[in-house]
Amino acid sequence: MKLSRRLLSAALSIVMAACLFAPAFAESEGGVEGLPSELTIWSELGSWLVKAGNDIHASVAYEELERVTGTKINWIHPPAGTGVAEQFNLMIVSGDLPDIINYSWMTVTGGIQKYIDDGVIVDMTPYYDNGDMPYVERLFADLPKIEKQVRQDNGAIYYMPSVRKDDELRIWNGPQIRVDWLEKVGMPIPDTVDDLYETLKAFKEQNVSDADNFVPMMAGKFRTDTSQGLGQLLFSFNTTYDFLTDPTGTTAKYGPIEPEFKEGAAYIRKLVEEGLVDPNYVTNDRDIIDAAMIADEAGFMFNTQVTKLALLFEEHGIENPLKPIPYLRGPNPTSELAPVFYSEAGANIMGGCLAVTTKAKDILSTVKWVDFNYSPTGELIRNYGVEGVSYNLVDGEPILTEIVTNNPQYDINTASAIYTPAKVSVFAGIQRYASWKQSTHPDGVDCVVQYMSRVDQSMIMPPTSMTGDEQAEYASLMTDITTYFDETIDRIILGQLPLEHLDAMADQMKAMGVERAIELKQAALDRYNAR
Amino acid sequence: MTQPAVAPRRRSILRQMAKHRQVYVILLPVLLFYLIFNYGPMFGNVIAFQRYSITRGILKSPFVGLAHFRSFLKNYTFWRLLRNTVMINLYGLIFGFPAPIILALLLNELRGARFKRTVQTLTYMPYFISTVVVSGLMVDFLSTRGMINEIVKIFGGQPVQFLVRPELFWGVYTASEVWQGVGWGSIIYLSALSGIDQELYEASAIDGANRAGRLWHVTLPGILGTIMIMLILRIGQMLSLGYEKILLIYSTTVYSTADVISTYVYRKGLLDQDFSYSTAVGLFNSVVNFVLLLSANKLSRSATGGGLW
Repeated sequence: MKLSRRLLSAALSIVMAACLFAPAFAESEGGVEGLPSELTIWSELGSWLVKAGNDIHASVAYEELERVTGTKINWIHPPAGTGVAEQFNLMIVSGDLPDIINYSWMTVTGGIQKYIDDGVIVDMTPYYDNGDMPYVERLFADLPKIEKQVRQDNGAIYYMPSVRKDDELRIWNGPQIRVDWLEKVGMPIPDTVDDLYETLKAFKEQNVSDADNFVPMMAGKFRTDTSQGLGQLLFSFNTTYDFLTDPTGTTAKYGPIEPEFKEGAAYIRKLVEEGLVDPNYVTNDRDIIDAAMIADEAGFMFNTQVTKLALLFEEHGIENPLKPIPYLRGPNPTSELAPVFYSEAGANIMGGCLAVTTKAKDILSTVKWVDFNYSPTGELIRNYGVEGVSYNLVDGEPILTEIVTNNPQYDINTASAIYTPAKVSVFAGIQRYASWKQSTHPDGVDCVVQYMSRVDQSMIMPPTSMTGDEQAEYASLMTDITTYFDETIDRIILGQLPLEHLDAMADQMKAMGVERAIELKQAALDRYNAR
Repeated sequence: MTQPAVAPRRRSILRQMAKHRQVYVILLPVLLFYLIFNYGPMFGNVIAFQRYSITRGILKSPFVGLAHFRSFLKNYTFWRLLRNTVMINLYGLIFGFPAPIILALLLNELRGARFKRTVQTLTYMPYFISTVVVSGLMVDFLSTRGMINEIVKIFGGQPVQFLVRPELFWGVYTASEVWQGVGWGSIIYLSALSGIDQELYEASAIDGANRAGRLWHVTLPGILGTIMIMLILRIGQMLSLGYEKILLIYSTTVYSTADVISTYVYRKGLLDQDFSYSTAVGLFNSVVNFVLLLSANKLSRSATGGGLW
């Protein structure tokens, strides 16, 4: 008995000693101690990676991650072209769950709490408290604002998101103008919305374009951040078509019923009335808008993911004449800054988030794998790929090679999706501006520089969360209210209804319960601020 | 002695089935098709009475009774949806239903076989274009930069935003439906016309009926049965308006006239993922449809003595 115990302790100490050295040894063999040997991950493919062959196996960076961690990843992807949300629902209903689901958990229908309560995904907080997520712990210690955004109101950690460590990465939508036409009409870069009005008018009166269908400004559906939405003109008036906060970030407000909204709407209506904006904006989509910009049919727009249009210009052999300009300030500006209300600009976390399911074969090691994605090694691989292939260290700084920046086969976005997937926010992990800058079309980098120059993000509603019941009540109120808003605002802007109808619209929204929705949002905001 | 009285009759049915078993085997796949694809999914309607959660499934989601129906009836869009659905269908009934009959009658009067066939082929054609393509054509043609407005401009008119003005939607939609379906719809009437006894025409000609008279007294009564059956079928589908086309051509600006029950169900169910609510709305739609079909059949029976059943 005594002998056996001594033997046991000797054996244990050998094992422990081995463990101590294990990481160093394991890494050279291609493995990290404590991580699973195999994982199944369900994840959407980004549109850029779809171009590269419809399979994440085309992603060299994830092969490198597999090599370093020693964890083989079996990917499950919803078929490209089908609704990701539908495929996600089907998977949940089937009950056939992978180890990890990489999904937009922040905005999942019904709120993430439901998935915790119904035992679909695992609460990672105990593992975090137990010290099983050291890299996430370090990330939180370095950047407390990210901890605040990731944790739920109750302090729990349910998912690990795409983290944009640098604030520059929060901005990618903004105004673009034809600088060549500015020169033609002899006007400076517009500073305020009033300047913009004069500029568009000059474009129209002096017929800067030969195109038959020329209209100074091209736009898409009113209430969209990402489809060149016309409503973005409201931002300069300190208001928006959605929820916002006061400048201190403590009071929740709903833009369309606030007095500033009238001023903004009147301005937009004036532009449409005078033929300065394409009246078909209601039915325009991104392809129509892009085509119009290439055909010299418009001189100003709010663009998104600028690189797409920049590449399109290159395909047509035209030098991109569109240049980003700083966000427009309101009439009679009192501040040097111009506010924006893009929801993604309000937070450093977004996009795809990793959540461990209750069906994971070994939850502890799966959580550790999630954690490893946020390690310096994980960050390096996701942002730069493989040393000697997609990056080289120059004076200790990783510099991307031509295989990313000038790939013979793929355009720069597809190449970065393969080698530096951090850029594609569908995959969770850390994203760095230093890497993004290197693999982004110069026009895209220019946008960030211009837009960052005077952006005011203080009034953006942060990523708050609601309980299941609150969420259900809020959603049932707001889906009707936003539908009503969509149909009414366009009729006002297009002149089918008088401008004064905005008051009737606000009254109708109140009758539909917008004040209750604001209350719910306020409560969520209070809890967020108390985190 | 304890055998019930119906036993001999049941036995004879079984004997019948055994005798004609090949016929029943042929019937089987069709029966299965309806059971699996049409009757099976009906059980899913139970979620209309639940607060369905995808993580809990049908069996564990809590029941909420008629809450979803109540909230739909109270919704500000309810009357509008009902009105739009009925009105678009009524437009279809008034303009879309007679159009193929008129076309068939006109074609029937044509004597030149080649010309007749050319017209027939040309009018069928649009039916075979996919809805998506037709809608794309419509958006293109009807925009302020589109073909139709270019023609308007040639004649000195002001361009009209056809797809953005709510008051024009019912007309635009119905016109496109007629354009697409008139040729195809006329086939069944043409075949009914070919079944009319030619001697009747001769007899009426001898009696001194002119062309219009023959049309009124011979041709129309000859195809009246077909017309009635088609009418009943049509009324039975009154509220089940296809959502695809509307979905593809409407925009928020014309919701006030273009939003119908099926597009609303689509938005609520698939976009907002409010499954229970949209199922309740869909079920409501089906019940109203069913009532309409019953009354149409009754009406037809009392009017012509014949109905669907």
